[in-house]
Amino acid sequence: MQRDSLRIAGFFRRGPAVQIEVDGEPVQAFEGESIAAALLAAGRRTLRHAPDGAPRGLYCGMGVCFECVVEVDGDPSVRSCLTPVRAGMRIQTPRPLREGN
Amino acid sequence: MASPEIVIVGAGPAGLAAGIEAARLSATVLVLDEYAAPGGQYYRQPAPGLTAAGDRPSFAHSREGQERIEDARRAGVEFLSGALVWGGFADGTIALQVGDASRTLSPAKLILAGGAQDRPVAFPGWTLPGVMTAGAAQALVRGQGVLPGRRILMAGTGPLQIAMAAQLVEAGAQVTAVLEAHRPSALLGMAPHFWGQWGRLQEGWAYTRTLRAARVPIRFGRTVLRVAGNGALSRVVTVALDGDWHPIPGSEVEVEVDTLCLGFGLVPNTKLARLFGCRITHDPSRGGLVPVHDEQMQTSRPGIFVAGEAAGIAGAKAAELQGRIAGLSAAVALGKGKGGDAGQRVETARHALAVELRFARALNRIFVLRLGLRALVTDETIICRCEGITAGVLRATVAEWTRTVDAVRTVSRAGFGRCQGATCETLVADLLSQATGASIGDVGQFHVRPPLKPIPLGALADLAADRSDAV
Repeated sequence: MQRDSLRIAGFFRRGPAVQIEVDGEPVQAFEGESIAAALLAAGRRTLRHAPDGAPRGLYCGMGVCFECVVEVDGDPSVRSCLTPVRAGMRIQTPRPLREGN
Repeated sequence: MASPEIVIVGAGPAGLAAGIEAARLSATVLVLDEYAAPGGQYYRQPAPGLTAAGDRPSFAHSREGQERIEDARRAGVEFLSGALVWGGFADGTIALQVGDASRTLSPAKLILAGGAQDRPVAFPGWTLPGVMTAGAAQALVRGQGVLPGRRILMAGTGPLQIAMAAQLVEAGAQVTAVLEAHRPSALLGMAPHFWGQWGRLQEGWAYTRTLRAARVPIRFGRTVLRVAGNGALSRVVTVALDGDWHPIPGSEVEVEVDTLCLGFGLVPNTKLARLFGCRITHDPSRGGLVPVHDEQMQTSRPGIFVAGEAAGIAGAKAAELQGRIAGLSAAVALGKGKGGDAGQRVETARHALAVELRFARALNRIFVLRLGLRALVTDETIICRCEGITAGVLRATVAEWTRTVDAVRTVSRAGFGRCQGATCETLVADLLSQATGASIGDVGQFHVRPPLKPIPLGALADLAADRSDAV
């Protein structure tokens, strides 16, 4: 069965919808939910790229592994699994610097 | 804020119970927790802004947690959520960061109740997005109301992953199978330990009934061999295991899923205890490295107590009992509760705890990872996820230079990344033990130094001005 979203219907009553920006694109989220949950629900499983270019995503989900670190409003080391979204938040998913770029 | 008499690190079952008992004896208590809301993993509360709709079994522990949190508040316990404890000093002072600011607290007594993390198991492809721990899946479902994926395979060992699979099914996820590494014959030894554990049997029975109704098979003697996918997980190759968990050649099966949840048990969180120099021992029946403690739950450092999974893996009931003992003992040591029944309450908790620990240790011994699983780790398999260091690099290091995990770390840089070795420590220890033949208890541990987790440099500078005695 295909669903529109990974958000579980009828499990929780959600707060108001808010808009965040991820890599320059608008993404809808709900107040209070973690950045990682909002990105996963939006179909973005890759949260950053390792220095060798390999994609990484949510692993421990409880603030231990730092695999889910994204850049938020200029702060380069935000654990997306622990940090709630805020309306207007600007998120960059880290990428390795490429030569000649 | 003036330092409270007792600071508790961790707001799960152990931390809450400790706080309630100490505050009821009129100690001033502050509970610090890294998450947005108290409760920890077992009592996981919905993210602020979410409210549970309906009365599903998955929420039972969250509801129970809500009551405990309210009990604690009524008893006068203060909470500080979103607080990252990153440092400890020789005089028992702790350093924490909240938001952008760091500060210190100097409580008379400290109770470490920081819980546990999922035990990592490495195999080719385990760094792909879509591969996550069972704990991550649980935090998503119960904390965020979000499914970890659409088609989910679970692999691991022990009863926790059965519980997790049932919760995923109840939340509407498609779970293709649960892979239990043990063969049924290995689990027969469990049966006598369940005598008298009627509540646990009932809960376990409810989970298996949920899985059966959803036609989710539990496959015994099978696990993940490797995974692949373009940009994210799409294929898992599973393999049959022999009694010692060696993969059996020719038994590989490929399945298409977008999510793999790994539930290979838990590792106690001992970082803060180690930072304070508490004596640590290696005990597989308690989950690996654990702090040594006395009957009051006091560690080898006077005034520093430990409770819950951080004291050894034993489940939520044991965590709560240990929390009670630690909270009462810490408060009594401060001269509280004179003429009351604190001593009697400690005795009662201690008797109940003995029963819990007997059960937990028997279970932990059965679900210790068996050595055949090491065959999953090819030379190309990443061990240190932060620094991208492979098993091949580490094996070369071990052969030439080193005999302790800390020496391996210095030479290879494995464990020097952002997570400070929290994820790869047990993997490096296992690899070293395999390479040298030394027992896992004899290869040592990563030296722990502050900050325990990365914090902004500015926060450090604020504190450096008035402190120079960091442990």
